[in-house]
Amino acid sequence: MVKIDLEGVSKRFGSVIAVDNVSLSVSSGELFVLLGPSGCGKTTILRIIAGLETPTSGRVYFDGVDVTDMPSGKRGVGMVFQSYAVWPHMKVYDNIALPLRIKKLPQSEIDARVRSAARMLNIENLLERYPFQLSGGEKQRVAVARAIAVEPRVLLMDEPLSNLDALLRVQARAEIKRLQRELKITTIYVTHDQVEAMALADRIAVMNKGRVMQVGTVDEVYNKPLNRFVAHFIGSSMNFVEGTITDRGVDIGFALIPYSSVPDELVGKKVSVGIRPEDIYLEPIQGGVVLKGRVVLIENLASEYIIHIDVSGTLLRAKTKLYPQGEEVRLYIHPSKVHVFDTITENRIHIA
Amino acid sequence: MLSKAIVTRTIAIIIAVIVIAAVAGAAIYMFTRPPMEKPVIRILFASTQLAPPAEQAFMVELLTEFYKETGIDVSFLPFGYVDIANKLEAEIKAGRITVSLVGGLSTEIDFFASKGLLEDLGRFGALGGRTFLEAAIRAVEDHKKIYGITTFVPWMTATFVVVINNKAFDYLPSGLTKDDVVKGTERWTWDAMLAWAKNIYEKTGKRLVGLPAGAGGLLHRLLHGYLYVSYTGYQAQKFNSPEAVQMWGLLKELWRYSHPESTTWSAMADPLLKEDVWLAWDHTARVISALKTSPEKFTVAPVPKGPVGRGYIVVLAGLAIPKGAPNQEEAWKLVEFLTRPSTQARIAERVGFFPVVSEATPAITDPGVKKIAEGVTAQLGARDSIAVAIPPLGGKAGDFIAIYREAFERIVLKGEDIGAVLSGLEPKLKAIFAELKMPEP
Amino acid sequence: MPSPLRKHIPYILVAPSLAYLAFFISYPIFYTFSLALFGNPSPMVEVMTSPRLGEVALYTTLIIATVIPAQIVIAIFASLFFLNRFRGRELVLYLFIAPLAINEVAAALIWYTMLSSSGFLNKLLINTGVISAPIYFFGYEFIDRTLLAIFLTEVWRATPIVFIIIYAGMQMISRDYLEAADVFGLNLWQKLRYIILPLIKPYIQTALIIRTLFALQVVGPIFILAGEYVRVLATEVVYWYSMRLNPGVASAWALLIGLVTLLLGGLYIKLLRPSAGAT
Repeated sequence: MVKIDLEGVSKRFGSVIAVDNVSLSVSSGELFVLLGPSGCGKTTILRIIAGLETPTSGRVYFDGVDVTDMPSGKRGVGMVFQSYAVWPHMKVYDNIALPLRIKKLPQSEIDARVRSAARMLNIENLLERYPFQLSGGEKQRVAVARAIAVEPRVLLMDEPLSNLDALLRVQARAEIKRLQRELKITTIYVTHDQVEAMALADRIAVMNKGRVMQVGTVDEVYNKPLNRFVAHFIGSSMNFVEGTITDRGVDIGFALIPYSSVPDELVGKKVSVGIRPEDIYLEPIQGGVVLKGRVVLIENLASEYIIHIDVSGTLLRAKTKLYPQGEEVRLYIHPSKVHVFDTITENRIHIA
Repeated sequence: MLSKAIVTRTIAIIIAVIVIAAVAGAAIYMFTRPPMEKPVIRILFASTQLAPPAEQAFMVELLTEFYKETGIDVSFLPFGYVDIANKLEAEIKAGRITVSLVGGLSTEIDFFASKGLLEDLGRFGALGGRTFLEAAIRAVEDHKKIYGITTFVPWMTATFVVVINNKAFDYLPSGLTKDDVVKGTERWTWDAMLAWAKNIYEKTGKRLVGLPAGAGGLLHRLLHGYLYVSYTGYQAQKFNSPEAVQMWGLLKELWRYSHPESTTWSAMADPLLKEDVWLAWDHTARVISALKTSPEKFTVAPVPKGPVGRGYIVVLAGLAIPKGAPNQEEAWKLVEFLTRPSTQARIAERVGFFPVVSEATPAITDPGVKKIAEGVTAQLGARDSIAVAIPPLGGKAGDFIAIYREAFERIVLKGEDIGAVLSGLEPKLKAIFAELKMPEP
Repeated sequence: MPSPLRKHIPYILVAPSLAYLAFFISYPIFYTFSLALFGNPSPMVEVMTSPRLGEVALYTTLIIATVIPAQIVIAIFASLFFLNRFRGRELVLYLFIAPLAINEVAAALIWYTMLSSSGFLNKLLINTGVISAPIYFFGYEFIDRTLLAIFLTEVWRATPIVFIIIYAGMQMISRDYLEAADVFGLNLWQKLRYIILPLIKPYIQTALIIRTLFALQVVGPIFILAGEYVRVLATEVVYWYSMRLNPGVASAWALLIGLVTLLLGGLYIKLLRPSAGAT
């Protein structure tokens, strides 16, 4: 199991910069997720690691060995494509076995590996079928089986679940997580779905426009988003209000969020203030700031409610288990759960 | 649905427009028509030759001049041979003849004469200021012997000639002069040609004789109409004879000095121009472009002779007047016009048929055409010539040709025994003529 | 609409096509059959006992069996080559398929002019001192080299059509299949063997059928390059029809072409049955 390092990797396609000076480090045995909206360069990075693209500049290392110019087939990677790329003219068995035959493994070894991979993915009964006889979920399993049968040093997955329906996706992602834990293969997983990312990842790299915005554990990117983009992209969509830093805290017009030690140089700065809906409470909390508002709309999600509240003309969304009593409500926000970003640079401002 | 009223109105408008246009057109014609002259005499000239559009256009041009000169308006009508025959027969039978003059190959005219469809042209007397070539006169004489009348006046001709790159004259074998070749003397024989080719090969190392033995080439004409006639006196009669064996021996020998690519050539113009060959035998129409391109490079000579004589095929077109045709005097004027040396020269330059009167050749201005015309004149004028016509075999023509070509392939190319090949093929040849109930030519 | 009429409408609608087929397809075919089979002696019997049959079979087989495989192989490698994006690719592509626009007779004339004893190739070799006497490709004495010239001409002229079919097939292959092959360590040869060829089988089949069909009909180039001395099925048809004025024997040869085409077509379909699911 290898450790993967990307050093200042960039990739241009003509005038388009797909990947812009990305440096990353993926630890051995880790399940590392590249998360970002479409076109952010996450797939390009995966393809660079796979050896399907050559970076315009920068280097890629597997366990410290420079593999930037190494042909894909020699890198020892297993890959699951978004389209699965299960070869249509071969039976499932042959799809899994072909890469092993190419490596000239003994027949018995090939058979053992194919069957073991099939067992792991629970597709033993499909081995004699052709791909056109398989469902999407089955094809996805075949693709994974093929990738793990080669016993790769790195497992690369490019949105492997995006073509499955919602229910199957939840099931499949759990299986992938279990499999990865079992096999302990360094895995890089590309997705645009932040829920999937959080469910799977040991660590997440959030990407936007070819750049890595933040790398961290699920908790880190959720609780301490380094910029407005990450804050917005991770978790349920955040409330943003414009505000100004004062010497006593952040003034958001209809309220003041108090901070005790505001550095003098920040006073007067225009900021965007982000508050997650789940951090807005309808019942009093310790040290909470109180806001008064009027309920505009209630979305009933059965297990919880999304409540749209008009606070002095600003619309906030709160996620709560409590059903509000009456139109007029009081809201409670804890200053430590408020994220403050520079309006111009959009970077997080650390303030306490 | 259109209402009835609209339909009626539309028809009324259309009729009105037509009437107005007709009246206006008539008025314009009345005011602009040419003034009345003396009545124009119109005659019809039906021909199996010069049917391609470009050649027809030339004829129309020529006949316009004739009209300016004589006031006789000639309509030139290209017809198929069978159509003309049917038309003449029907018209003569009905006693209402429209065609005043017929142009066709001598063999076609022979057929018309045999049906008694032609006037005797003897009564018009001789045409002055022109000397018809020996072979042409002989063809007319032949008809006279059979039918007792002058059936046609020679019009134009095509034949096969030998084209020589002038460089070849530096390699003449001893006993043969350039003059012999150009004039077609006694010494210009197939053996002399062989000696010449051999001499060229020995001096230059190159096989410079060219024969059109390709898929579309006319090699078979060389065989039945030239070599066979020159060696045996007949095209088919003595197909398998000691003389024929001698002839094939010569051809086998000649082939050794012939360009190997000959079996892919259907016309000799190109190999001559590229100097792939120096001595080539082919139809005039298939060498003329070489002569037109570089007349200074080449000399055109009559074909060599064999032990029996100078056998050659002549394609002769003639002019005849149908029996009881209208305006015969005017038709004769057209005959005079078409055989006039200056007209003959122009025909040669424009359509690639050659003059049948010796005075025409000097009048040709294109040097390449003139050279061929000289060669043709020399050939048709030679005293020892045995002119033959291609036998009219209809549907059997292909089989006839194939026999000679097969003999060539097996004897010359594959080196099979001459006697054996000829004995094997002879019955097939005889069968063709037997089936057609024709004497073997 | 009343239902009895409605029942007949489809037949009325297809009637013109049926009439067309009967008149312009069936009638000529049956006429050819009757021309070829009936007569005294039957032209077909004449052909089957003709001394030319062996020669024709030999040359036809020789040309078909060399030209077509060469075209398929070249087309496959050219397609692989053109799948790469490179500068000037379009231009090279157009040049490569340009012979397609050239009439077969013109193509044969180009090669004849190039390879003849006084042609471009010999001039070049002589002027550069490589050879001192011309190399002959044409003429009865050099018929084996003429076959080579026919091979070159046919390959040059007709490979583009094979290429277009196979290239279209290769472009239909999802890039992912090939990238998966790259990732799993297949080299170019293995990709061709295990992925590309099985996936383009239907296209190879089409190309084979079309090419065989047309290769069996080539006449002009053979007459130009070999005169009448390389006899194949198609040249026999033309020879007997237009030179020997014998439609019966010509039809018999034509019928043989039809039979050979049918046989080879069936063989291709049998041998190149696409793998299940490969479409």
